[in-house]
Amino acid sequence: MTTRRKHVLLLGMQFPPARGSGVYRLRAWAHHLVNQGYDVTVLCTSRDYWLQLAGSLDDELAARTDPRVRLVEVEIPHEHLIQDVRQMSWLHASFPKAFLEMHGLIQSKLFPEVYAPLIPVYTLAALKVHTRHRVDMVLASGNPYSLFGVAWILGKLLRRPYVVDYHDPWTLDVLKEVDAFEPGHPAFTWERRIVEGAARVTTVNEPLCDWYRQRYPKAAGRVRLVPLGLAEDIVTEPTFSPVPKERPLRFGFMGTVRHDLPMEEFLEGWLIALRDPVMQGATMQFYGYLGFFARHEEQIGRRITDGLTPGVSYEGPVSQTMITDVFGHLDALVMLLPSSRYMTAGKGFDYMAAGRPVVGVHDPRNDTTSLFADYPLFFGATSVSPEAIAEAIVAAGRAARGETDEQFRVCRAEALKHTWDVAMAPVAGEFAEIIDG
Amino acid sequence: MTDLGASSISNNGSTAGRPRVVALAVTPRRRKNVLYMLDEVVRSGGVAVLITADGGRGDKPAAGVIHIDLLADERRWGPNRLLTADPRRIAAALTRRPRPKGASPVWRRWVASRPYRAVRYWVLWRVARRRPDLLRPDQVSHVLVVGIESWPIAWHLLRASPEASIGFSVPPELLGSVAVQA
Repeated sequence: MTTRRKHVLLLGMQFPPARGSGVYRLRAWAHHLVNQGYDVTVLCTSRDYWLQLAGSLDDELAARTDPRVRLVEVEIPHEHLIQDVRQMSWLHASFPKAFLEMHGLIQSKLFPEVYAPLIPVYTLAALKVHTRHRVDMVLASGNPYSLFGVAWILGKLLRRPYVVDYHDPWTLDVLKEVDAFEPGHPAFTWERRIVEGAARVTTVNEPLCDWYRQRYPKAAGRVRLVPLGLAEDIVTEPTFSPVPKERPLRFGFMGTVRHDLPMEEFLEGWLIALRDPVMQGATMQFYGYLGFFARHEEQIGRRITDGLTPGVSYEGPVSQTMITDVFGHLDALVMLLPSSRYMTAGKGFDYMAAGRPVVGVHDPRNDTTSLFADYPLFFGATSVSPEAIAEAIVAAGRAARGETDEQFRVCRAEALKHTWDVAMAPVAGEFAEIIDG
Repeated sequence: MTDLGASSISNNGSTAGRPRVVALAVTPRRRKNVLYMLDEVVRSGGVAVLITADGGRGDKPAAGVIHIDLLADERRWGPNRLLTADPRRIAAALTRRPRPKGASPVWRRWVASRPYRAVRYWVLWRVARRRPDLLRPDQVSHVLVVGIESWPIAWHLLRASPEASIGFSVPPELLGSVAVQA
């Protein structure tokens, strides 16, 4: 007698070839669960949507998706998100006020988020999947939080358990560390409904876990930590060779150059750091997309391509699959992050995997600092000020000049303690019990 | 160069090969910035067209800017014509009393109502398209917008001139070496 493999339905918007930071967590869930013996179907937004929104795709990353993962692309209504007049429909462009008010009405009546129109579409797609292959558990990864709404609806319709996986909190503003909405906003009601009905609530760091436990005491026992992790199949071991004495140091940033990074402070700090002899002729190369949306590229790019900061250059986007090659020719990495104790940067693990000195350009309260507690070559700025940043850059520069093969190995070993599989295994281990009720 | 009745003064000079910037400032929002940018366009040898819909109130465009005000035509458009007829004027004419000033109370109420605000900018396109001689939708180089009230006309202009750019400022390349920001 054979037993049917349990079927987990993953709900997410971003999955390769989309290139947002949310891609990696959903991809990791899919791969981890399929390796644990589950049948996995991922409902994600169509590639055309991402191509239109972001202007590019990461097909190389998509090609590395495990073939056992079944992917169902969903066409979502997104006319209300279009801001380029040229691409708008006649109705949207002709009656913009009425059009936006109508969507406001949908949000107020259906679900309080701009992505609310995807709820019926995802729900129908999920039901279609269920009719063909019975779903045993739903796991929604957000944002967008409308997917949590879909999970809640599916929980009611299919009478199946659902898990909500927050990579960003919804009703908490992580940067200001206060409620993201005014009191009485329907988002609070919806979140309570979703969290209290969920079989598990997972999030990325302990401060956020504590926040959920305090905010929703009825669900406190079901809140779990699933940290971000390293995709060791993508970021493999880079080549290492000590920095020759004569060659100027090469620093680098890898990731989306977001508008909320402390760029001005860093560039000022870089100028100060260049006065130190160890930094003579040093270069700072930015790799990654300029903002997540194509329309933000020019504005963000100006900040690093104005030619006013010696040694600083923008090298363009890099496929996730090429990160290792880039790390292989950098001597030290600069990790610019927004400052919040509720924020943990997934790219921190990629930086660790480089095995090189890492400069932390963020407030020490940012939870990413705790990830690097055991990383021997981490040089976090003591504050987000040009002087403190310069000090950290110079310290990392000195460490890069003297880094040995042994140090590189220790750094790599530290990174490999933080793979996605390690992060997900404890919670995924509870799924069988959840499914069996 | 403003005509508040049929709303415009034609520009008879040849404009072939000159960049043509159309500013859709139908409400007074950011009008000063728009006027400044259009002035720069004219100074750099381009053709600047300003579209408004407020009866020509407020600051006037610089010399050389083609100004099309749509308010008068809007009042005469389709069903609006019925609402702009002011019974007080008729009564005043019959009783030989002084004519009341301002628009009809019904029109004022209608134009400020939520339903009309939802369709007004589309109505303005319907009115604007009657003036192809001045608007020249197929010869537009750049559409200068100020907000969502500009979208209906902008959408149609961009369909007629697919190569035209759109933005809240005038691209520096249209001004030669002079860069203008909103």
